[in-house]
Amino acid sequence: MRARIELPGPPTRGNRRLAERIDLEPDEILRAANVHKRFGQTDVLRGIDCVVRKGEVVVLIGPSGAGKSTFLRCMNGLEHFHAGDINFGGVHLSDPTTDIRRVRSDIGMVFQRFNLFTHRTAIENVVEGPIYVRRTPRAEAMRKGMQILEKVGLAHKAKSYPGQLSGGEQQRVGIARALAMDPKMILFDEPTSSLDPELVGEVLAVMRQLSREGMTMVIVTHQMDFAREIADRVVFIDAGAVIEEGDPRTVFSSPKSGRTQAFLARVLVH
Amino acid sequence: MYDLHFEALVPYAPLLLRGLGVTLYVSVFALLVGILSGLLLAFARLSRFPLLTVPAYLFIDFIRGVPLLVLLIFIYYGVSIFTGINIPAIGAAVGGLGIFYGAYMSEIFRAGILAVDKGQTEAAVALGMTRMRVFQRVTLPHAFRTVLPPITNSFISLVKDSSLVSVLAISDLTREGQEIVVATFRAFEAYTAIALVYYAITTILSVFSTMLERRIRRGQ
Repeated sequence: MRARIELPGPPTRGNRRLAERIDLEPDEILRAANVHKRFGQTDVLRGIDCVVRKGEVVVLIGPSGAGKSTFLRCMNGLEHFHAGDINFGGVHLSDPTTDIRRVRSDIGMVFQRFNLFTHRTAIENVVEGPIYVRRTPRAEAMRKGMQILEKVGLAHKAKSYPGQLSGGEQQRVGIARALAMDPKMILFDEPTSSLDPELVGEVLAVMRQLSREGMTMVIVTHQMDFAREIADRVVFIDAGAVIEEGDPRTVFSSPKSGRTQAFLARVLVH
Repeated sequence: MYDLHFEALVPYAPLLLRGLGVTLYVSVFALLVGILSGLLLAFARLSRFPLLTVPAYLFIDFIRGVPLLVLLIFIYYGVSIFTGINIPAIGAAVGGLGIFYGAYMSEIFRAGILAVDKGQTEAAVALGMTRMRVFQRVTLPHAFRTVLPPITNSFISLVKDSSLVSVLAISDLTREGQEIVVATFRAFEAYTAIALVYYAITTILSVFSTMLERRIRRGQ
């Protein structure tokens, strides 16, 4: 039995393929090249290539089990990959000497099940990272934290515990917690999948606002309408590989690949 | 018909009080030894290294497999036989009782740590926290909540089992009670008094634990 607190180590331990190091173009913040990952005998990612430009909203779509979430979690080292490279802001995640914690502190993450610290109030959740990772003085972190809660419309719930908040409110606190770190990019792992339908709108509204402000975002979602509306680029992933990508209008209305067509036919109810 | 004569105990009240003091002394220090050794054993068992997990497992297994009474005598005489050092009985009592309960509590601590929701630690990791910070800020507070009720059970058992140290000729509450019986022949009255004192201590413990639990569960 192993402790659950064990963190994923450097991505390529035991299988160093440093030759695959990939570089960024000037306008890019993240580039993934030939990313491979196995869970036991199963190949989950089979050579994913993907680019995220600064200020861009990239939406990953595809059937469940396709590897979207796993790929997203590779971007901040919550999962490690066996081959290939991910370059985030000039840092190679495949390099075993990379300080993955620095990378994580610059990448916000919003989880499907919110994962708010249940033993802390909303504001305490928001200031946790600034105080204990960035070492911001408490007073300053609290002041800024309140501004961010204000921004997601929850300043009045600052002293509430997660258990006292609705799902939509919890997810907005989750977004506030990510924002408090001044991230260069935010990853959203199915941010509305655990929400009751009537609570989805308030979370999407906050995400829309972030997109307008130029936040770089990578979103895994099953809300196709929202994907079409918010995405600068849609990436269709199936069986651990990128099948097709492009601007949402093209991908949704005239998909090139047969697999994309089949997927969209299943999920888009007309 | 047996006539109850509790008033026969009155002259011996100072003796009971002294015994209570010894019982509390042994319990408190054994508790500290128990918590410390329990935590160390739990960490050892959770470690990645077989060099730590295997000895910890064997140690816990052995300690739990030996009756406390035997363990106390074993430590008291064993240490002086094998090292030539005569340890005071009170030291053997605190050490034996502490390590015995440490072995049990280590499994509670381990379960408490393993029961922490993975999403909680993952959120902290995603913020960029170090392993130690994640443990301090997330794992520990959650695990504490989980283990509080079973650890309270251990505390209560420990206080009561401290009566076994009387075999090492330590004048704890139980031993003083036996002395009083010898002097007064009032066995029922003396043991009733002792039982009530133990009951009072453990009641204070459980009330304190319930209050603490209520405090940390607010809002959740």
